Amino acid sequence: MGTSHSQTEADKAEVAGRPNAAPAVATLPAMVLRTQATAGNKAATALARTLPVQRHAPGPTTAPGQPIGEAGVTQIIGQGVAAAVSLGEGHASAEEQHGAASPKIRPDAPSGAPPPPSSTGGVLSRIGGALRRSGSAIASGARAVGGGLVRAGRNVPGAIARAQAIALIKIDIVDNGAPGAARARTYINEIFLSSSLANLQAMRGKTIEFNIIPLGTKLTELAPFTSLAGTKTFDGRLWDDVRGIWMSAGAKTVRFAVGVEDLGTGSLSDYGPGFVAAHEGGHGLHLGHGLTKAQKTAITTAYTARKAAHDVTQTTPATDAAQAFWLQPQWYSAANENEYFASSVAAWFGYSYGKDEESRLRYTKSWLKDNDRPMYKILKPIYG
Amino acid sequence: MPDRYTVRCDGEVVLEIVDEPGALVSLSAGPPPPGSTSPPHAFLSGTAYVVTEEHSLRQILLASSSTADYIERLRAKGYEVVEKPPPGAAPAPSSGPEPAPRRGLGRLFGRHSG
Repeated sequence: MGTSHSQTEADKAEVAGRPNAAPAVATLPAMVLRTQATAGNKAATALARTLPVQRHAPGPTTAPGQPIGEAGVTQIIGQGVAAAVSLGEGHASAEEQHGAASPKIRPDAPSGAPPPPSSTGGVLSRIGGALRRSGSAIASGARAVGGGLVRAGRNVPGAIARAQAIALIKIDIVDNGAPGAARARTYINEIFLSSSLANLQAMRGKTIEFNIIPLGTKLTELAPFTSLAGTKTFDGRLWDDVRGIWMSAGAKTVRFAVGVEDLGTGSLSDYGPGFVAAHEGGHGLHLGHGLTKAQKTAITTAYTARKAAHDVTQTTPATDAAQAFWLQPQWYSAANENEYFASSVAAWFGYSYGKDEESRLRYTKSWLKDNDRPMYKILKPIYG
Repeated sequence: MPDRYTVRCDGEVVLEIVDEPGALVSLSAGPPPPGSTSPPHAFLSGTAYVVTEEHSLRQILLASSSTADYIERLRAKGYEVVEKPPPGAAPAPSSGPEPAPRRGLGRLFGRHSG
């Protein structure tokens, strides 16, 4: 029996292990935020325990000139974060507003709290300032606390919104006794969870199920795919022998299966390391409702124009100039807009179709930028 | 411009075909491995969208002698086949804006011809 690796906090904090890979940007801000806020609270608590702190920031529970104590300091910080979140909601970007509505995090603020200051940094700087004025002996420590909060505060709205959206996406990795769960998680982090807030919100309530096909095991031996045994794909391959598949399973589950040899950990695959997972992930994002309607329309437009200008089929000579306009295998990428997009996603993350140099040079973000600007402009807002 | 068709099963888009020789593509299966060859089909090109329908769609295709024959056989098996406007043209009212979400294994092989 295999192990199902459901989403945990540790999972969410995992960072891509691939050389030159971007960190799991969807989860990192939340992790950083959590760490800094904790440090700030601890420092503030220690401060309150050692000195009678004079309250300079307005608050409802302590009269001016009285020590505010541990609870008071914590409350001030809470007010600052609440104000920062409130400001962040008011200043949400157009992209953030484009996605589906999501529940707002609004920390409880005491009644009579001060009106929100003019900027997030201002709020948190004031907190740091209040702490600094409490005594020269702890001034440097207070500055560190204030500075940390300011830095954390700048990312608070976006990080919270992303954390909210990610929390509503279930990740289920079924290893079937094979290694590679961490690699599978890396691909999910990159293809799905590093996408923009609008895309994360489009995936709200979805489950991303990633099955690993062990060596020596057929796809159709895995429980979700047993009914495919002995049948063929539309292009004539036995499903038993297929080592990469994506499909919708019900309205809310995007299901993958990828051979362990294609997870980038060995040399048994003819594909470039990670290509199958990234390509199938691109399908999952596109057709599993991870894109906005505007993004889907843009893909159709880009594909239609490219197909009309530089069509390639299986019979197009390798020397034809049009071959230079498509990712390998060119006829496949040119076959429909779905393959065009899925291979472009693999290229964005540098997972090449083959191991040859030509493939590795083309499956890059820079190639897209220089040779397929319409697709680059589609992917840039999604992955930043 | 060759004719294009959308094939539906219970309202869900399961296949799109173009009446000219070309690639047969399974959207659910990964691309053919590097170094493999995949000759174009003799009389049509197409993309299959739903895992659970692919075997049936292929079996019907293997029994067909032309695109028109394929369409006739698909209809005889209960599939709905609608001509699709060319890219860039306004969609016909009956063709719908985009493929419907694919469903899972619940009705697996319900239409397979063997």
